[in-house]
Amino acid sequence: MSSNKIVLTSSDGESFEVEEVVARKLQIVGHMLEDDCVINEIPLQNVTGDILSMVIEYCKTHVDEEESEEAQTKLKTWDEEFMKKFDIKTLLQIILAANYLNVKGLLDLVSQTIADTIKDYTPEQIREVFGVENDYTEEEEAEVRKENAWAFDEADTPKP
Amino acid sequence: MKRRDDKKGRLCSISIPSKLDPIPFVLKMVLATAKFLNKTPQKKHLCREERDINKYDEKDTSPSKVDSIPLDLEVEILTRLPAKSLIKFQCVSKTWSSIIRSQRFIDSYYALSSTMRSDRFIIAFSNGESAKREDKRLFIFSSSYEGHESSSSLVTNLDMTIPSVTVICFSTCASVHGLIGSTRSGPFLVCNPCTGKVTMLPCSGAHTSFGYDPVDGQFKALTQVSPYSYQEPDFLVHEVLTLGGGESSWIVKKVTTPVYYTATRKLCINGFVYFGAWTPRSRIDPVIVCFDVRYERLSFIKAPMDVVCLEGDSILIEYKGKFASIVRHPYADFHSFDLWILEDVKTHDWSKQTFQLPFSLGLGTKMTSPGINKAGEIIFAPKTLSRDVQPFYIFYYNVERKDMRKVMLKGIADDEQFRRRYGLAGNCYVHISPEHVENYAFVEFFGKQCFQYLSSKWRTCLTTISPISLVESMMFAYDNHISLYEYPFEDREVYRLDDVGEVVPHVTIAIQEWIQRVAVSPVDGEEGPADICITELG
Repeated sequence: MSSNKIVLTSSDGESFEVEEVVARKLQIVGHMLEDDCVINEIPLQNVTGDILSMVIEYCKTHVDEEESEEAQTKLKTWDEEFMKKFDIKTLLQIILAANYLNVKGLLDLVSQTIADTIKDYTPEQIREVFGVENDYTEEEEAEVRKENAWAFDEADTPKP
Repeated sequence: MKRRDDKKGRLCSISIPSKLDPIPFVLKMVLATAKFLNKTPQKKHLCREERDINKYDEKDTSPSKVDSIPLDLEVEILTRLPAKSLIKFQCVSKTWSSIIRSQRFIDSYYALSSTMRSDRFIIAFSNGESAKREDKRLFIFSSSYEGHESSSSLVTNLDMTIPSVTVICFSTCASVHGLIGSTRSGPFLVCNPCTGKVTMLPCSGAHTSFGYDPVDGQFKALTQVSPYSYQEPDFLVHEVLTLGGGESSWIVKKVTTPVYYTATRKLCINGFVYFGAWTPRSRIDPVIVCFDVRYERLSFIKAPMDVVCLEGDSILIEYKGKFASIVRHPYADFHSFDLWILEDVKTHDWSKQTFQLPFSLGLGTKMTSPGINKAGEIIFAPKTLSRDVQPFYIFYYNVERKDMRKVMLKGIADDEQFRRRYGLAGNCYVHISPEHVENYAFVEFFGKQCFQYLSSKWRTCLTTISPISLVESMMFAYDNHISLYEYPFEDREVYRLDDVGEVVPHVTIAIQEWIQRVAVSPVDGEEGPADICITELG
């Protein structure tokens, strides 16, 4: 295994020196290296230092994915703990970064974590968090809400 | 002849380009998908630029406003949400609504459900045959195999309660592609425990089978319309009703077959519905009738006598994708069984294996098997709830290890309050569907045509309105609706009433007669006509 070091630089100028195997977990970096761009310093334009450090932390942990069940369980527990640290806004930044840097495992993990976090949100909260514009007219929205009224009912399960 | 062609054309227009249906919301979906295909890179790019600009303004890692998430990432997140949240998030924006309702999204959601989410199963039962009509209820519980192997009990959750519906001993009440289809006398009931919606299919005849065609993504119901009479008919006439894809139409098509006598309940496996029957001679020549949901054809497969001879008591299961039957002695201790597997549908080739259970499951006829779980273990369950408050156990038989474990389903029969409240008494037949997958889409959509007014208030109805008034409104709506299909057409070949109101012209007289008939027919179980009849045409 090569112990070649690569320096990743975030958009705000923070630099991280990582092993090549770790850097390759970022597929965007992997492709650059395969294209034989002999570079030791890679600028990553769309990620801030804080977010990049978290992505690198994930990649370091997942650098050698073992098949054994024990290792898998251990990783899963780590993933859960890792994700607990972030609020929804950070999660959304991580998903953007994971998508840009093309880290499949992290993308799946963050997507699931976001889904679990937002599942009980109201549509208003969703709009705010995702920056989605409400393009319904008032009447239309009332209609859609009426049609799906039961899904809004928190005590949804019919009580015996 | 002309109409035949016409019909063909219509059928095609519905079935083939199911991904491009001429339905508003599907159109929306096409637009949305197109949007999502074409614009995403651009949008992403824009996002990045915005981000970059932001970078210089604020170094904060959690800025008060997060940059908007590209559509493909939103889709990525949405596919991981529970169905209920998806229904709710249709209110977020038109774009979200069109994603959630798009066929493409529905398909990928279903695919993900069946592989990733924990395996759910459905337990349906009603509160006894002896309950009064207005007290009858069908309960649909769900539970998941999560943590199986180790746990000795599973928690169940009451998903739905449907008033005035009973499932009896020989009813089919099974999950087909996320929907529960249930036969009973009268209309065929379809409900979606995931959205809480119910619809009834205008199946006029007996013996309705409900199946799903995974290729075209369509639900179909097959119902036998030939009446049984003293005189033996020369052939049997069926109607095939096609649902799904379209929002406001059912297509009715006739299928005729040689005479057969339905013997067992129905089982849908991967685009085919199977059931046991006799043909040509009743109780002499056993067959499995196989209904090809996609091509709407029925075929007969020669079957071993053992598989069909118990008729309603026979156990039909899906065993690793194949049709199979568990044969046990009904009136003896259940400590061994034969597993018949239909190995080849074309050559009618069956295999048979015998298994010994490590302990007896009691009287054979009291036990049934809903099928196997994902791990390949055969599930055994009692046919009825216990008559008094007792835990409800199901059993998992491991074919390889030859061992069996029992698992308690909490909340089914051990809740005294629940039992008392709904008057659970007598024989409460239990129907379990293994491998139920949440499918939030259907019924949600086609339910609109039938019970829209019920759908939004469905759950409130269940708890607030007295069941009897609900029954009546349902019956009334049902009569209103189904009758569209029951016009005494001279040529009942095929007719379709769709959203543009296509009706064969000679029907007008029939409509008038029908309105006059419905107007004076009693609706509330009492003698004499209703006081008011409101008719809406068109």
